[in-house]
Amino acid sequence: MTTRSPISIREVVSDALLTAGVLVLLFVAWQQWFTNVRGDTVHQQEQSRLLKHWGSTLDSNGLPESSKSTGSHSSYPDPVRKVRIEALMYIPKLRSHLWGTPVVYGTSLHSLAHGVGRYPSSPGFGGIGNLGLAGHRTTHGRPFRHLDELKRGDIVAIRTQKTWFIYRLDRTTIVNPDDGWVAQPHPYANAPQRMITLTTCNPLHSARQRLVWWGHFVRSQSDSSIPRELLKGA
Amino acid sequence: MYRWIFRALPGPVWARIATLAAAAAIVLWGLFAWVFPWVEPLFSQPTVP
Repeated sequence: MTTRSPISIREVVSDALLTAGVLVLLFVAWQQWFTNVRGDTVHQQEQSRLLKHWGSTLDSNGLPESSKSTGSHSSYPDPVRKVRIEALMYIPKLRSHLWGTPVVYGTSLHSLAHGVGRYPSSPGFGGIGNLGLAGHRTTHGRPFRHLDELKRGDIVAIRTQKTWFIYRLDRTTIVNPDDGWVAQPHPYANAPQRMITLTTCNPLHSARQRLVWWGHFVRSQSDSSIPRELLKGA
Repeated sequence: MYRWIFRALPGPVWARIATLAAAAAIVLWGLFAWVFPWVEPLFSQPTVP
């Protein structure tokens, strides 16, 4: 009678290598596909929660109607998901990709999984200083996927509960990941007092660099009417 | 290793396949819900400090 070894070293090693390969492929699938499917859903949910908090709904162009809420806090602190949703972001040039995207407080990976993140050191929307916003380029709903397609003069609109804030983009650059100065006040000579900075990863599928867009504050207006810049792109 | 696990499982072949498929689904859920989100910060951060 012969006895057969239940398991050989060779078999264990080959199965371990196979498992490692499958794990790497699964991680790529999770990051590049699953987080985007999940992210799209999460962004929509956060947008709905904020609109409900404001007492508002979307019109046929996907733009919020006037807020019917008299609450004094325009941001929505979500206690379940531990994220604070502050505003909605619109870029007419990227209408099919970035239209009503939630803006959340903070730029941790957890925050950025729920929308575009506002740097904690930033001033409020429309405030004096540099309003820094960060977003994913290829994962978690990829809100800034097409930031490289923007041109000088393109509009960025931020909607809070009662106010629209309009910014116009001025210049772009590509920097190293540790170049935090880009989101600080006065990042370049003659920088405007009220400005916006958008940052995301560059190139696509890499965190080797950061793509940066700077813009200046144009004006703010009441939520009782839609900014003409958005109607033009609608 | 997987061959050994498959042989060690009780029942007919279809039951073993079903058991392994269920185990794989649980492992996949654990990876997607817990392990990969925990690992991700090592590879991804789209902000500047």
